[in-house]
This record gives sequence, C-alpha cells and structure tokens, in this order.
Amino acid sequence: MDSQDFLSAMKAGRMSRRDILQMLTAAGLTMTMLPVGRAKAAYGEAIYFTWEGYNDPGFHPGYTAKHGAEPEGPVFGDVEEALTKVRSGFQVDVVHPCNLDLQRWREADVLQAIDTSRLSNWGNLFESLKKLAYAQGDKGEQFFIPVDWGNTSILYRPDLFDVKEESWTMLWDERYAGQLSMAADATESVAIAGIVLGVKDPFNLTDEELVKAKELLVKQKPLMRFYWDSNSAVEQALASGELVAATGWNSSVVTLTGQGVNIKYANPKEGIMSYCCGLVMTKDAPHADKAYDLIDAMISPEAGKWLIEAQGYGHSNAKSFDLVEEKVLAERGLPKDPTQFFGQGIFQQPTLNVDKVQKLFEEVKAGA
Amino acid sequence: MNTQTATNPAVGDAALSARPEWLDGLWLIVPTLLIVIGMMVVPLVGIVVVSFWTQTGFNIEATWTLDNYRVLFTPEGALYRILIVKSLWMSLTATIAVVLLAYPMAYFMAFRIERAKLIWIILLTVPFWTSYLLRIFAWKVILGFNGVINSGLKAVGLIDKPLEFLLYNPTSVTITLAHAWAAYAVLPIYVSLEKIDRSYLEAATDLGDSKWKRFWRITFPLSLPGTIAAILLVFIPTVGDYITPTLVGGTSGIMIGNSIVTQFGKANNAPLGAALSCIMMLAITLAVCAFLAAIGRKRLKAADL
Amino acid sequence: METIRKHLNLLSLFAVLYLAFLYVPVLLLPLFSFNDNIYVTLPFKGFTLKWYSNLLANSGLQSALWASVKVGVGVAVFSTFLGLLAARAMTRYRLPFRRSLYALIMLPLVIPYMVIGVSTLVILRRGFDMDLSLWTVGASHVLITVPLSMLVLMARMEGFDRSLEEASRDLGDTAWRSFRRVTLPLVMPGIVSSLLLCFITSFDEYLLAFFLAGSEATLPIFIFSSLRFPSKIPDVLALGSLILMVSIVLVVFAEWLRRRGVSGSDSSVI
Repeated sequence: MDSQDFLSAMKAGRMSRRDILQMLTAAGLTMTMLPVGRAKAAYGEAIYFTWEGYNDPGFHPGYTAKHGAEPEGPVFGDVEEALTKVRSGFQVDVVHPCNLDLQRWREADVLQAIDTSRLSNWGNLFESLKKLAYAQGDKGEQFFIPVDWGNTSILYRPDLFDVKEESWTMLWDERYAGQLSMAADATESVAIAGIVLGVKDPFNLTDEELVKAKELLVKQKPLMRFYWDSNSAVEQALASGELVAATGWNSSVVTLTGQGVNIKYANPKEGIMSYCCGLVMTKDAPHADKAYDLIDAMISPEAGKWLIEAQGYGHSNAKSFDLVEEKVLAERGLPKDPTQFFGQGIFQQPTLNVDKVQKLFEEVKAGA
Repeated sequence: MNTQTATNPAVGDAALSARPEWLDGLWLIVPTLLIVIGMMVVPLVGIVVVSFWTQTGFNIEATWTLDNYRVLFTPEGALYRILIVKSLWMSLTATIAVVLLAYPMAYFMAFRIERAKLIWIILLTVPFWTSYLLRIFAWKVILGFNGVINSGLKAVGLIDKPLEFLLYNPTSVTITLAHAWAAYAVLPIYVSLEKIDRSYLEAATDLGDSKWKRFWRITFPLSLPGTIAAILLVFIPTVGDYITPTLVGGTSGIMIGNSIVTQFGKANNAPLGAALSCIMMLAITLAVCAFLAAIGRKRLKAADL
Repeated sequence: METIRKHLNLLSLFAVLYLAFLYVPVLLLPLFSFNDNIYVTLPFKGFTLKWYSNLLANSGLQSALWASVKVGVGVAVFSTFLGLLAARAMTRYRLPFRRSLYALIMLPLVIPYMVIGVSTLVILRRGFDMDLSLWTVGASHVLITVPLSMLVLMARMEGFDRSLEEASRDLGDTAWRSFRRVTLPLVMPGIVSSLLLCFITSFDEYLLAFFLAGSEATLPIFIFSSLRFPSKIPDVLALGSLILMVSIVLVVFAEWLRRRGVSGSDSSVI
C-alpha cells in the first residue's frame, strides 16, 4: 500500500485495522533496516570526548586546518559518567576533565603520559597550570595539558541583593532566605563552608572541621532555593529573579549580561576560587598522532583568543592574552596578568577523603 | 495441518492433545526470555556478587563480607534508611496521584468516545514526544517564582508576593511525576476498560443496579488487569528515579537513586552501591508482592460475594 | 436520567481538565521558542525566529534527533512484537512457572539503569570487543520496554473470550489465521498503546543510551550534554516545539481526513 493509496483510503474511510497494522510493521522494519552507523567519513579522526559545545570548531582551529575534518565527537553530560564509560572499555583518544577530576582519572589508571616535546605551544603555557596536583606523574611526566580555566565565585543581582562587602558569607545572608543557591557538588560546597570557617586547607578538612562545616551547611539549607545541577538552571533562576545570589562560573557573566540581566561577579574578600580544565590522553588511544595535533591546536594562541572572547573563560596560553583587548578581558572578569592572579586566589585542590565529604553533603540534603 | 483434520475439528483436537498445549505457549515466550536472560543475568549476578565484596580506591577486592548490608543497621546507615523510605514514599504518593487522575480519563476514553479512539490514544502521548528536560522547564515556568500561576494571581490582585511553596518541594515533584507518567497509566487502564463486554453492563442495569454499584461490581473488577499494570508501570521505575527530585525537589530533592550513583562513582564504593541497589530491588519486589497479594485476596472475596 | 446526565458532564469536564493538565505545560514551549531570550522565563521579551534558524544550522542536534527516531521506532516495533508473543503466551496458555516467568520479564524495570548500562558496556567491550553504536543502545532499550509492552498487552488480552478463537478454528482457520483474523483486531488498541509507550520511553531515555552509545549521540545525550552551554538550549527548545507542533498538526489532519471519510461511507476505522 503506497502513500497515495493510503491517503485515498483514509479519505474514503476504508482503512481497516489490518491495513494499518501492516503499514506500521512495514514502516518499522524499514526504519530498523536503515543504516544506523554514521555516514560521515570521520572514522579516522581523533576521538575527543567532551561536553556538547566544547567540540565547537572554534576550540581547535589548527586541527581542522591540518586535517580538513573535525575530530570525532562523542559527548557526555557528566565527567564522572565519562570516566565510568572509559574505564568500561569505551575507546577515545582525548578527554576533557578539570583539575579536580584528575585525581580520579589518574588513579583509575586509564591515562598515558603526553610527550610535551611534540606540542609546539607547550612553552607558552602558564607554568603554575602545568604543575597542578595530579597533572604530573612521579617522574615529572605530563598527564594533563591545561586549556581553559575559570573561577567559581558568587553571581549576584546588584538590583536585588544589597551587598556591604563581597564575601562567601553572602550565601548565608538570612535576608535573602529562599533566594540563594550553590552547586549540588559535595566537594565544592564543603570547601566553601571551609573558606567561611577560615580553615587552613578548605579542600581537605580535618574531621573536627568537617563537623563544623556540616553544621554550617545545615544552617544554610533553609536559605537555599535549590542546589543547582547545571549552569543552565542557575542562570535561568538568576534571570527570572528567583535567585538573587548563587555560585557560578565566568561564562555565566557573559551569557547573562548578553541577555540584559543586571549581574555582578563577586570578588570575595576571602579569595575567589579558580579551577582549570584541560586535556588528557587515554592509554589505548586509537589515533595518538592525531590526538597530539588536537591538543596542540587547542592550546594555540588563536584558540585562546576565541575562547576568551566567545566563551568568557581564561586560556592556558600566555600569548592569547596579548591578542585580546584589555576592555574585553575586564568585562569577563579576567586579569591582564594571570600569573599574579593565580597567586592571590584559592586554586581548587583535590579532596582526599571524598567519600566522607560526599556522605556529609548527602546527609545535609536528606536531613539525616 | 492437513485438510482432513482441519475440516474435522474433533480429530484435530485429539491430535493436538498428544503434546501439552502449554508447549505452544512456551515457544511464544522463548524469544523474550532469551533476550531478558541474555542481557540481565550478568548485571544481576554481578550486582549481587559485588554487594558482598569490598573496594579500596579503584580496586574491588573479592573478599566476602556482609559489611555493606550491616552498615544499613548502624547509626552511620541512617542516611540510607531515610533515603530508601523516602524514595518508596515518594513513589507511592506519585503512583496514587497518577493512577487516580488517570482512571477517569481512561474511563472517559473507553465509554464516552465512540469513534477515532486511535486519535485519542495518540493525543495522550503527543505531549511526551518532547524531551523530559524541556517539560521540566515548562513546569518551572508555570510554578516558578515569576511564573504563570504567580503572575496570574498577582495580576488578579490575590497575592502581592509570589508564592514560593509551589516549586522545589515534594508537591512539585508529585505534580511533575503525575504529568510525566500520565500516558503509562491511562493507556493500560484504557485498554482493559475498552474490552469490557457492554452486555454485562446492560445486564447489570436491567437488574436494577445503580450506576455506582454497577461500576464497583462489574467495571472496576474487569479493569483490574489494566489498573494493576498501570500501578506497576508507574511505581517500579519511580522508586529509582532521581532526576525529577533533583530538578524540581529543591534542597531536599535527594533519593536513593542519587546515593547509588554516587557510590558507583565519586564515593568509590561500588560494593555499597550494589548493596543499596539490591536492597532497593528487594524493597520494590516486596512492595509489589504485598500489593498483588492484597489484590488477589480482594479479588477472591469479590468472587465469593 | 437527570443524574446520569450530570455524571456524564462531570466526566467530560474532568477529561477536558486532564487534557489541559497534559497540554498546557508543553504548549508553553512553542511560545518560548519564539521568545527573544535564551532563558525559558517570563516575561516575554520579543518575537524572534533565530532559534529556528540556529536549529537549521545545528547539525549535531539534527543527527541526534534522527538517531533517536531510528532507535525509538525500531525499539517500539521489536518490543511490541516480543511483548505480543509473550502476553499471548501468558494469557492464552497454562504455562508452568507462570509467576516466575512474569517476574523474570519484569526484572529489568527494577534494576537501576546505571547497573544495567555499566555491566552491559563491560560485557560488550571487554567480553566481545564489540563497537558501540545505536544498535547497542537499541538493544538495551528493548530490554526495558519489553516488560512495558507485555504488561499493556496482557491487560488487553487477559480474560479474553477464547470461544471466539475456537469458533474461528472450527471454521477451518489455522492457528495463525485465527490469531490474525480474530485476536489481532481485538488486541489492536493494546498494540497501538504499546508502540507509543515503547517509543516515548526509548526516545527520552538518557542513562542507558549514554553508556551504550558510540560517537553518535541520541537526543537525550545531546540535550544533557548541552546544559553546560545555556546559549545552546534554545535550539533544543525550538526542536522540541517543532516536534510538538508537527505532531499536533498531523493528528488534527488525520482526524479531519477521518471525518470526511466517515461521512462518505461506512467506517471500519479504528
């Protein structure tokens, strides 16, 4: 029965149940027979596992220029799920975790050391970013190539939030009960509590400090609207005025301002938090050579200029900061001299007793 | 089957009874069984076995222990006890809400709609051809701070400050779930209501039954297979659901599902995650069995009457 | 008579309200897809078509949509076929260990998807060194939709009047023919329901799809992965609105055709 027949039969009301069933079966079988594989001839390209959006060609202009094709791009929504998938045998070349995730990727033993002499842009990267915890192996071999860095601080609506002094305690301001939010991230939340408590190492609290941090988070819970799980959610709530202050990243300043929302990025007196994301190469990378091309392309000054201007994040290549106008940097809350800047803030460090911290935060949420 | 037996049913039946009839049934169910067993055995056995092991770092050690279960009965296990009870409770309330709302709709479709029933079936599922995440966005717009309800009430002058209790609490979770699972409840109830022989209903009316009596004596019992299917289809998957509570449940929106995922991931304790999964599966199975047993007894009683 | 009419109207009123409950939230989406704001929030800022033009340029989103449609349709047909066989076996025959078989097929609904996803992935990759693709996603979706299909179809087939089939057999039909001529038409609403429920389940499933997909993302994977970049969300919104509007137009069109058809001749229409 072809479509012509179908329409006329429909018109005349002659369709029987059997005809419809036959058609459905036929349609279903045809659909399942269609080639399911990807038609593009991209099988030979480097496989780059990242968030949708980070595979934008702007991030790696050099790769496309050299190979005439984009890297293959499976995407993930959560870096922990990505690690599970890679550990279970999913083959990729390059993955894009952040410095806080590194410990887990290293300990899972799925990475190979990267020969930095094969990266033409390696010499121009900020030294401090190269030496982040777990970025290098015991013998000084490099496992992590820093690319994009940014801050975690408080995004707030100056029209709705009356601020005396920018501080992490803004997230405990009882005047705005029900209009505040933090990320649903155990290590980060506990670290912020640690900063407010003024502990020595907010990323590795002692058992005593953990108890106090928990008290502080329990006290904060009724003031929170929700713990956010994506920056889409937090930006949306800030834009609607549902939230007046929340933790967030630099990129949110760019997007929210672009939508005409009155937003400010706090520089807390206790120090702004910074993090850095970058690239790692898997042990059994099927396209290692092309992976090097991709990594080198992503740390080039041109890629950095694009990242700063279009995404609002900082870049690991010092030269990219020379290519961007000072005004643009200022708008994005980025320093002219990142080296000095890294010295002042609180760079996020790995947490050793993650399981305790995870459980603590779950208990806060569950009210246990 | 040759023509002779076909024209002579008595001979045909005799020939068939030579082998047990259920063998034919077994052949029908074998493909499904093969797929389910083939794909489920390893996950199932794996999870049960791992739940008796231990983990340090990324290394899972195959030493047998009951610690992962024992922890549930210690003060440290309070978190998991709370989460399991909370998840079951949330799922139960959501299921009740979903099925109570769905039943009249299914009834309407089965008994009030004369033609174009296919269109109605499709109509019920069309809202779900969009992503769940988008539907959550829509609910936030309706229930949110400056949302449809709050703006509406403000415009009418009923309130001057937005109502904050609409979103990010257990109620909004139930509303969202009642919406998300609507089709899964309406359709099974509808298909079982629709097959009810109308002559039964007429007979009951002729015998002088009132509308309600007729419903409880005939319609409802006959629609039980669909209603049970609806309850199971909504209850079982929502116990493990953790996305809805995280998105619209607010600061307390944490369920056993979240904890299980954390154990397999960041908390580096797959054995505990596996034990929690087993407990959850057991709790669901017990709840379902208790429910089916209760229904079974009711049904028997109804038959006695 | 008066009371019956009252009941009738109450029920119709409820049906209208219920449909409103189902449709009002999703019908907001098309409104926001024309709103000149990347955030789905009130108030409306201005009319724009830019999200739709972005959608045309977003090849990643388009291929994710096709991937999901292919998997969804395939899964719906295959699972409904299996579900039909299983439901018939369960309702028509006195199977030994009936309860155990039933419980076994329902099992995939109880196990956390995370566990199914990871262990299936390990078996496929470490055990068989098999490449991940939409086929592996589809297989896992069959697993979780078969119980659903079987339940819906059992609800339809339970308490079925066997005398009808027997009558057909007596008239000389083979088992298959009597099934096709007698049983199948009666089961049809169940089949359609099962197809639709299996499709929407597969179409919206994230976790299994994530673990078992190769480089080709399905729609839910794409959407969850895009949350990192809020400026990409309106494209997704435009796509969702488009699917919604097209399906509503199709349903209305089909109904219009049917009405024209009905007035013309007798109707064997569903």
